[in-house]
Amino acid sequence: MNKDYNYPSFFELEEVLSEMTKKKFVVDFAQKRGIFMTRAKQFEIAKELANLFFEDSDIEEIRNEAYQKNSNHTMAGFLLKSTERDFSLPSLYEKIRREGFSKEGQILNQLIEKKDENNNAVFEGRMEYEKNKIGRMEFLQKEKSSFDFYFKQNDANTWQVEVDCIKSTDSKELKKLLQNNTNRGTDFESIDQDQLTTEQAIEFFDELASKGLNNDWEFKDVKQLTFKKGNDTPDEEEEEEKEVGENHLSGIRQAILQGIHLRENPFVVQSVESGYKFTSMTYEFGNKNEPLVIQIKAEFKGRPKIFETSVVFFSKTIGAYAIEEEKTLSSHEDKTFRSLFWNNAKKIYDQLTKENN
Amino acid sequence: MAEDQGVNGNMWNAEASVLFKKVGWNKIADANIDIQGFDNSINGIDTLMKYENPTSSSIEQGVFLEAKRYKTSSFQKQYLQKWILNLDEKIRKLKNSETFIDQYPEMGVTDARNGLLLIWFADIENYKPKYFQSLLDTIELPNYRGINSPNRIFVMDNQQILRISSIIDSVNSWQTDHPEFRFRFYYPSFEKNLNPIERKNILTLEYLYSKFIFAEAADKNNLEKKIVFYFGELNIHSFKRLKNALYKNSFIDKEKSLTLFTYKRDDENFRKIKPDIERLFEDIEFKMKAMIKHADLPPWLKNF
Repeated sequence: MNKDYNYPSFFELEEVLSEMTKKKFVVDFAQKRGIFMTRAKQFEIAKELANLFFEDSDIEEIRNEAYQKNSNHTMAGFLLKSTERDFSLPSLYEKIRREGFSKEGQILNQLIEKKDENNNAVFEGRMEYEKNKIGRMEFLQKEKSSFDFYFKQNDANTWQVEVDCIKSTDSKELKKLLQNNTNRGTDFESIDQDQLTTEQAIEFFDELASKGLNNDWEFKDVKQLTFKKGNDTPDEEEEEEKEVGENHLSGIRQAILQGIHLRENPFVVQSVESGYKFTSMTYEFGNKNEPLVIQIKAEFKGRPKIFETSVVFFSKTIGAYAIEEEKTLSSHEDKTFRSLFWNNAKKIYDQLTKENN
Repeated sequence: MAEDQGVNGNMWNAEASVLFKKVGWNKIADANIDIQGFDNSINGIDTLMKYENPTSSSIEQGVFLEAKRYKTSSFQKQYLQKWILNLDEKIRKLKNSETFIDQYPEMGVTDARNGLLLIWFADIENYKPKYFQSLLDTIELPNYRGINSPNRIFVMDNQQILRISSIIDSVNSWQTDHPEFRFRFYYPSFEKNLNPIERKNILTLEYLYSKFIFAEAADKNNLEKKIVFYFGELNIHSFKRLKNALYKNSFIDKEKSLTLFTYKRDDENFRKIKPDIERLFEDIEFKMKAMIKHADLPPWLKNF
């Protein structure tokens, strides 16, 4: 996607700074530049800042902050296992780009090669596509979407694809594109709830509490839990959803903290017997070394139910009075947490489904 | 002594007001004055200044200027927090004080909510801009309760002081080379103010903290030249963004030449992208020049 170099108007700057970013960001943004507004509300600081002329990096800083705060990113992924020897997913992608095998309305950007923390190659790409939706005036109007994705090689035939989703259709769009351009023998593996038995699904969420993040983080709390009923319906809307109340959540929280398996929790047992399946859980983790807290949502979503992760909340406790302050993670930090959680979930999933084969 | 008080401190105080007089500000009061606040407290102020605001014809901006001169070795980070809060408190007590307004009626008719803390680190060989920058991040403003009457406290250290000196010298140099042209800073219309476009030899606090400044020069035949002073990064993304801003403010005009002054230096990389930047502006008569850059206070400030 071409970068937009539009210089925002005074009103656009004022609106974004007063309505679409947190006050802390606006205060910090001004302070870093040597401007201190005392006794000022956020909209007053926004108005003052909007009077200044900024360079590109300042505009991007504001835009990124507003974008992160206002869009809900989830991480979804799948594995691509080819029968071809020395299969290269980046080469296939470039071929699709070059020879125009993508669908109308799809734009595939050039891949960028980077290195991860283990010095392995990661290929970063971006895809734009169009989807029809009901318009206000027209019957159908095209809605443009775009998302980032990452290719990483696991072995000679296996590539891992991670999709930074803004819409739930994003990862399906990429998966379909690749499926249409690979041979029949190619396997596409996701974390698919249908491949887990009811007990395995409970075990899956149970294990995520202790293994979802790395050893720097420890489980603190369950903030949200959802069960859904209606396995046979093709329509997600028709499923009956049960949001678990605080009284049962505290029991589940205690069970996890004490290392008791969730499958032994009376409420979980009762729900399963009534035909409900675990579909999502929001975990709160505390960092062991720094005063940081993160809440991550793990959810099976869509039809078929594919696993997604998202960061719901992040905070840092600061100052002599230990005040907890919510922070907006950078897009890179946010993506790193979602990716780590998703990859650990895949390991748990692989272990559980191995038993089924 | 930690702060360079006495002769050096007073001199810096005087130099500070000379600096701002050169960008169109007027001095209202002599240095080192004690004034009674609305609560009868006595408040020491270095200098009172004001300037006409070209974007708002109704009111001038009043500024409480505090000049500090320090050596980096004796500066402690808690001073910055203290100075900012003290200056804010002084403004709060004085701007609505009857004694103050009686004593300085010129300030009484301004929007007197601006504090300017001007810190000069005299041992420039030890001064590190990144260190001071990191201190700005650590300042914590208290949660104020009660009457909401915001003040604006601006902090400048060596970097900004030298930048202002650079603007002054670059303008003077350009003017010397173009004696038939009359140079002025250009203030576009702001939709919210519905103010007409203005051209003045004044630099507002907003412009002093901006990454680019518009200017214009005209001769007696009304031949106009457009000038922009740019303080941002020298990469192609930044210039594309800048071009869009110039375009929206009618600074891309086939009949008016545009001179773009750049402040930052990155000679090696800049040489590589200079042809691309020139291509961005190929539809008009376009020139790029480097601003005069100072490593220390210029002679005209030291020897005024």
